[in-house]
Amino acid sequence: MSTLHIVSSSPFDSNAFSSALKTASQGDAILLIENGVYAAVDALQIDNLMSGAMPDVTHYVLSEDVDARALPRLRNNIAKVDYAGFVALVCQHHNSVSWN
Amino acid sequence: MIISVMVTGSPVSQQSAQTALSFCQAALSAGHQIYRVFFYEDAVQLGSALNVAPQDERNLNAAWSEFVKQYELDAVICVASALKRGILNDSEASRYQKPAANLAEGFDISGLGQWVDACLNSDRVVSFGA
Amino acid sequence: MKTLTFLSRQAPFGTSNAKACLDMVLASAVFEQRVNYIFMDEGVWQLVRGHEPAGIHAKNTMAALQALELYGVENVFALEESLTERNLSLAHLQIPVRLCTRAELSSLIKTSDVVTAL
Repeated sequence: MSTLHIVSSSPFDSNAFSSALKTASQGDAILLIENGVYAAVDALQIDNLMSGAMPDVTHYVLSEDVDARALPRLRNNIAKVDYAGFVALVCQHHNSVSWN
Repeated sequence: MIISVMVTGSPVSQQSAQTALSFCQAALSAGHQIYRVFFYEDAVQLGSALNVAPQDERNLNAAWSEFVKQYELDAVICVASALKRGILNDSEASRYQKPAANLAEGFDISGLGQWVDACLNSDRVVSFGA
Repeated sequence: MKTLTFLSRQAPFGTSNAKACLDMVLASAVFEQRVNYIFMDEGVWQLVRGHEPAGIHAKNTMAALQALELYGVENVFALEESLTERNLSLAHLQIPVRLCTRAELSSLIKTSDVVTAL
């Protein structure tokens, strides 16, 4: 049993990413989409949020949304997926939470 | 798998209705079945046949309408959200004595029960926008 | 029967999310599903006693919240962390809710069939 947490707001603008991070438990995944992809940038504020995060949670980012926004360097250990990968992640987890 | 999708974000001011459409297209391409798409809150604006997009911008209403017709999807607009925002089919327009109906082809207007029913009959439910 | 869990994360009045979430909860209860209704983040402001929204011409949803049990919605929670962050305690709240920890929230999500956050 695991959950896909889908985050669609920027962590610089909303607590959606922070709430998802705190709620995700072992075996869950976090997928960043839309303005949520700004949580994938390599920045101090994101590191601070990540410091209390569950280690066994995989982070993904939707490549179409990253490409659209010309993000600078992404943080380590984040995997890019396309829409087919998004669908696959939904199927691999038994439910999902959309954090906006 | 059997998947249902709920869209809540405004198609005009938020990205979520486009994200939901791309997701649904990818789900069908991967061989999954879409049981229902439920439009709630500002997303019901997608059901208007009267919107006009600038020539150099995508008409998301038209794209969704074409998509649900092409794949004969069950696309339900929440009645409470729709009436508040002026999205009416013929029967609602006559019930409330409004001058016109504007529901686009491919969509139905119904209640939140349709969303609960989708939850009961789907393997996965994904929400877009809030 | 399925377990449908709702995370109400927005304050009342400023946006329609709180009301939209409540309507989904009530619809799920009508269908006699197992419902968890969890107030967290800004959503905990919905529970504070003494709302007087007449001056902003908004509907008071407290009556509906107080009637949740009549609708068969018995599992109503507030995330303790969200209350604490806002200097709120059970004494400030209008309706009886169970406090839940972050770990309990995670486990409620895990054991749900569908989770809706609004």
